[in-house]
Amino acid sequence: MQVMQSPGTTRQGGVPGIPLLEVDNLTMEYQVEAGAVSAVANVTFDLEAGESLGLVGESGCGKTSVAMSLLRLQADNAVFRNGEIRLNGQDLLALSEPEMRTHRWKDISMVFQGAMNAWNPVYRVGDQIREALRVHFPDMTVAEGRERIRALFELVGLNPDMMDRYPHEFSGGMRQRAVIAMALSCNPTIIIADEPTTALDVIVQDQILKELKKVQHELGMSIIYISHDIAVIAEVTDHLGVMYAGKLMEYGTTEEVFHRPRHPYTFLLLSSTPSITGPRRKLAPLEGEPPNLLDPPGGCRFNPRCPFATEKCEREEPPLEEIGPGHTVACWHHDQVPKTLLHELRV
Amino acid sequence: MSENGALVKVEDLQKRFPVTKSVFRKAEHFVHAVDGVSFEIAHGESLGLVGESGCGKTTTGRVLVKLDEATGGRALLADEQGLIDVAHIRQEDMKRFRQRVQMIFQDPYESMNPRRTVYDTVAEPLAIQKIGTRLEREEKVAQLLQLVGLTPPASFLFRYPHELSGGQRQRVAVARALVVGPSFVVADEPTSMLDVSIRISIMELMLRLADELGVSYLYITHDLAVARYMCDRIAVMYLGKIVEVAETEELLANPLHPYTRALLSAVPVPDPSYKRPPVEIKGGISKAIDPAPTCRFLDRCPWAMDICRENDHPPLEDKDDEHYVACYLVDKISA
Repeated sequence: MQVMQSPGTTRQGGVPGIPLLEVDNLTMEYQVEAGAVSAVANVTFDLEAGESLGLVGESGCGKTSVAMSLLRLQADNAVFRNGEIRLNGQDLLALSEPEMRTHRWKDISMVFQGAMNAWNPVYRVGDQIREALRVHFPDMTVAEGRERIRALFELVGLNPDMMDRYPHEFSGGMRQRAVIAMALSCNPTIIIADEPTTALDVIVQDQILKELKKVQHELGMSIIYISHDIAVIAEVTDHLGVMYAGKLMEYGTTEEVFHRPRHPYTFLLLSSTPSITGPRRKLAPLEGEPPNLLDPPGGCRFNPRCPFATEKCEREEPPLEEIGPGHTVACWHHDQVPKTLLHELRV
Repeated sequence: MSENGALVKVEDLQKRFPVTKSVFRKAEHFVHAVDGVSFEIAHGESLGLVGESGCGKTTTGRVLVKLDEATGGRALLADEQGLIDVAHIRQEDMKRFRQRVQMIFQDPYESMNPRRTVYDTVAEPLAIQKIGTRLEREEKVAQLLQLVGLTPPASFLFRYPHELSGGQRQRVAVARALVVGPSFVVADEPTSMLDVSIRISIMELMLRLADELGVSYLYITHDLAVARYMCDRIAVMYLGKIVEVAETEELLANPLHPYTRALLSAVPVPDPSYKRPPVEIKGGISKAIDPAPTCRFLDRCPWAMDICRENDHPPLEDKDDEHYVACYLVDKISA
């Protein structure tokens, strides 16, 4: 058995010269009776060691499909049409299931959406985490396992004695911390956090996000945050990918995308986010609904809702084009997007 | 009341739920879900009720629309015929009450009967109130659908909830609430299940209709940014008590209660260069079962002193120009 690191030591990750994770042209469909749902189409991004990346977009835009693909936990009716997911240069999509199993949880792990409500109520929380450990470290003794869980609980700010308690004795925030502890149990290099704080109150959310940040820093992990909450993403990520209808529309540093959005969708999304700071302002609704991905619109998938759309947008799909250092956008008319958000209009 | 422009006046409202081990045993303990709440809402005004889950905000709303019975206090609603006390309503006033007060629920997927069409759903209040003939009702429903932006109405009338998107369903819920022409609507997290882009259009719709139809809202939400957008004033609730009420911008700029300050500092801001102040309190909300006669916020308050322990929960007092706060230490903290 590989010697496990104790939580708290920084791990050196990856092959020098290439990004830790490269998602390259990922294209995935769901086969349904009515045809193929184009859930992820030509999505490309990199993740460096220690980086935190946010994926934002409306429900059904493909964020969770991308995440599930990274773990190869996609639904049974999902078919990869194109692309690669390279971890340290190795294509995960080319691996057999037993080979994939050696990477899952140990290299890439995930905090699933709503997992805090998925604890089995009749088992102690610590025992449920030990079960997960046992699968990956069959030689680990009970005492070693308990020691490990104790360290994990301390890492996420839980009293280690809580490991012998049942899920109903945990508050919502504590259950979510325990979920994070479980995701950390095999020392992953990458954690995918899918809506990690959506059901929590703001004060608890603040604590959980701080805890995740601290753990990430201490362990030198990379985190992919998936959320529809743009304010949360603004706070916790260095890079940001904006998805719409299965496509990556814009990618760049969080700072750059928030302050200088160049895709009309990003621009409208940011313009429609209320805030408690700054002047009280009128927000612009984003008209219409996301398209049916059984039959996505031709050309740019955002064109039916886009105020800048021209005939070209209906015909030709814009490529993801680099418009500044590390800032890419897929739009024919990115130079027409206003420089300031619609926030200028004050109530 | 009506002479000073108030539409709703809530006085010392209480709702206690018994905690019983068995149905045959008398309850010895009570959850004080709403514990002496008082506030007013003026004609056409929107009051936001914010707080963490479990603070009693939804129960307050449910008592006001009489989905739950109050166990104490009064809630008065003004109309042209005088006052209705929601807590002690007379049978003959019930129909009138339902015409004045309506509710919009959080989850548009749950609050609609999957086997009834949009027409059935929106026309039901009219049918119950025996308003109009079938033809008139159809016209009224079509008019409402038009108003909430489901156009053309004819293409929506006979659809079922599963044929609608989340945003469209919530528009139907708004239409159903407004079809009898209420003056007061309790909206319980009406946009929290919706996507950001759709959220604003529902919020804008509700603001526009409030303006056009003269409706007042009690807008219940956990999202302070949403409350800011929707409400003229905000009331902050904690464990069954209102701890602070003020005009929206005043509350955000000048929070006085330590709980409000913590809540505001915990709200994420959609600007990566903005640095929030640290959140000064810890942990989650406790349970309101037989609360001790002290300040309800005692165990989480970083400033708690003997005065907070030795006295019952502080009264809500006007500190400055209609800015009410319930805290013994307010002068010390803000100094």
